[in-house]
Amino acid sequence: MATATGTSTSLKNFSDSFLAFAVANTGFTDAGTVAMTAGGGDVDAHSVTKSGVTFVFVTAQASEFITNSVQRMEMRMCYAAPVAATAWTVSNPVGQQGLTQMGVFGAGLTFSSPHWFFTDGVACHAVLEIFPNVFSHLSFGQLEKYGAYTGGEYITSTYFFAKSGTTPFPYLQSLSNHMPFAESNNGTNTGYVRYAQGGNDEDDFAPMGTATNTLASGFFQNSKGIVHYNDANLGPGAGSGIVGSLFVNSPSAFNLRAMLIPIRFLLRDTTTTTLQYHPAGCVGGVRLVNIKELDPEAVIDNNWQVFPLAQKIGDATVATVTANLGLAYDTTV
Amino acid sequence: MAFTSGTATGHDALADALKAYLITQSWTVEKDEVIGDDRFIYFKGPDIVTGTTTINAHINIKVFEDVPTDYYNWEISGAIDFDTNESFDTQPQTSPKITATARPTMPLFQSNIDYWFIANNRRFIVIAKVSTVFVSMYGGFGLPYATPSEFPYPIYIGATTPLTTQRFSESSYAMGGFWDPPGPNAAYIRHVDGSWIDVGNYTASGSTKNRGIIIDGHIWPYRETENDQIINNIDGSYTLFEVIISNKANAGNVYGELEGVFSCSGFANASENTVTIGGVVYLVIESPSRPGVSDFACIRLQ
Repeated sequence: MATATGTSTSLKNFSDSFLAFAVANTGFTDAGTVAMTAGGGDVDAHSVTKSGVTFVFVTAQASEFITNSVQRMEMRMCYAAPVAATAWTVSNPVGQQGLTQMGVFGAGLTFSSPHWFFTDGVACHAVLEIFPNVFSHLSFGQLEKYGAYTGGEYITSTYFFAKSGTTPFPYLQSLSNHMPFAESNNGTNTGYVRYAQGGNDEDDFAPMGTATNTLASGFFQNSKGIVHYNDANLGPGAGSGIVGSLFVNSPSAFNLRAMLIPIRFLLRDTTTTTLQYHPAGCVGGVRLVNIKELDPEAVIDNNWQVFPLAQKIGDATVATVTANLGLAYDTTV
Repeated sequence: MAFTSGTATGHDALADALKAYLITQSWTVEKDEVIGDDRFIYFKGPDIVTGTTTINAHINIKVFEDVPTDYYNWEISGAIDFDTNESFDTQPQTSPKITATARPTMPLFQSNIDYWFIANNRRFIVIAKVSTVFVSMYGGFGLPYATPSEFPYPIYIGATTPLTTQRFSESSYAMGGFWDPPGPNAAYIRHVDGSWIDVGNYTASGSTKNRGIIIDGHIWPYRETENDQIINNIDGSYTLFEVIISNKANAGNVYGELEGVFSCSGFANASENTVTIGGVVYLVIESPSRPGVSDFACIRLQ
C-alpha cells in the first residue's frame, strides 16, 4: 500500500531501490546480493523471496548485458536464492527456464533517470523514465488469483530488442520484443507466471506468449497476457488480442474518457493438447489504457497515473514509438 | 424481490406475468392495448434522479403471433418517453425498425414457458425457456463509463434475433442472446447524440459464427475469437467477466456494461446451473441452445 518516486543512477541502483521498496511494502524478504558469473564477466544477483518463490534480479558489472545498444537486466523466478560464484543461467537456480528481461535504450551503465514505484501490497510495479518521455516498465509479485491453485506469482517487463544495424528502432519487430503484461513473439525475454505442475520444478513456470514448455506429462505449458503485440497485427494506436477492441475503441469520442482495462492472465490447460486457457488472475494496481488524449505522467480519475509503454511520440532513433499504448498505475493503493 | 421465476402458458401469458412482476418492482404500465391481433405494452421504469434531472427507462413490447407459420413472438423497442397518441412504431425517439420484420425479437410459443425475470429501477431482463431453447431480452439502462451529464440516457435493448417472424426452433446463428446478439437489428444502444447504434457480434445467419460482420457496435468479450478458448478456473470454479458494449464508429466509444450480466465459460457448464460468488447467486444461461464454451452468460439474480 505505497508509492515512491526517486532517481536511479544505473539498472543495479534501480533494482536495489525497487527491491527495497518491495521488502518494505509488499512483504518480501531480502535474500541478499551475490556475485555470479555470466558470459562476459561477473554479474550482481539481488534476490527477494516470498512464500517459497525467489525473484532474482541480475545486472552486469561490466558491459556484457548490452546488445545492440540495449542495456538489460535479467530476471527469473526461482525456487532458491542464487549461490555466489556459480554461473547465472536459465537453470541455475532452478526456476523458470527462460529470462525475463528489462531493456533500456541506449543508456550507458550509468544514467540519471526518474523512477516511480507502486504496490497494493501484493504486486509491485516500477516505471523508469530512461530519457525524457521514454519509459520502461517492470512488474512482479502475486496475481489476484481466480480460483485456487498452486502458483500465481508472475514477473513481466519491457524489453525492446533492436536488430543489429537497424535504426531507427522499428515500431515492433518480429523478434524478441516483449511488452509488459503481454505476449512476446518468441520464447525469450518474456514474462512468466508460476503454475505448479507437480512434476519437474522447471515445469512450474509458464512463459507468456507463443513459446511453450513441454511438460514431463507430454502436454504444454504457457500463459497469455492481455493483448498481442507484434508488427503483424499492431500498429501505432492499435491493438489486438482479447482486449483489443476495448483498447482501440478508447477513448470514447463523446467524453474522451479511456477505459482502464483490467490486466488479466490466462494459463493454458496442461491436461490436454486442446488449446484452451484457464483464467489465472488479475494484476492489482495497474490497467491498460489508451493514452491518445493523455500526456505521460498525467493522473486521471483522481488516482491513476499513466505512462506510455515506451514513448508516445518522439524520435524513433532514441526509442520505439508506442503511440497510444499506455499503462495506468493506482497511486492510492 | 429483484427476481422471480415461474411458468407461463404461451407468449401472451408470459407478458401478463412480466407486467405483474414489473409492477411489483415499481415499474409503471403506461398502456396495455390490443389493436387487431396484436398487443402493445408500454413500460416505464421508476424515477432515477440525478441532481435536478429525472430519467425513466421506456421499454415497449409488442406481443403478436402468426398461427399458420407457428410463431408467437415479442418485439422489443426502446424510447425516451411515452406518448399515448403515438403508435408503437412512433413513440418518442423510438429504437429503429429498419424493415417491416427487422427489430429485436424474442421468439416464444404457445405452450408452457419457464421464465426468469430480473429487474431493478434501471432495467429488466427476461430469460425464457421455450422447449429446450433459451431466449432472452434486456431492456433499460446499462452502467455507463460516463457521468450522467456526459451520457444522460444510456439505454440498451437487446433480444434473441433480429427477425420478428423468426420461429423459436431456428437453429442457425440468426439466434443469439442479448449479451451476444446476431446482427444487424437484434440489439441497439442509444448514443449520446440520440442516434441508435446497431449492436451485433456476428452475422445473423448460417451454421457457423461469422464475426466478420461489418457493424458499428459490439459486445465484449463475446466478439473476440479468443473468448472461445477460455474455460473454467483451474479448480473448477468460474470467473465472471463484465459484459461491455463498445462502438467503433464516430472515432470509437466504450459505452459501459450491461448491469448484472457477465460472461461465463460454458466449459463443463450447463444452462440453469447457478454460480455463487461472494454470496451472490448467478443463473447460467446459454445463447440460445448452443452449449459452446463462449455461448454462456451469468445473470445476477438480484
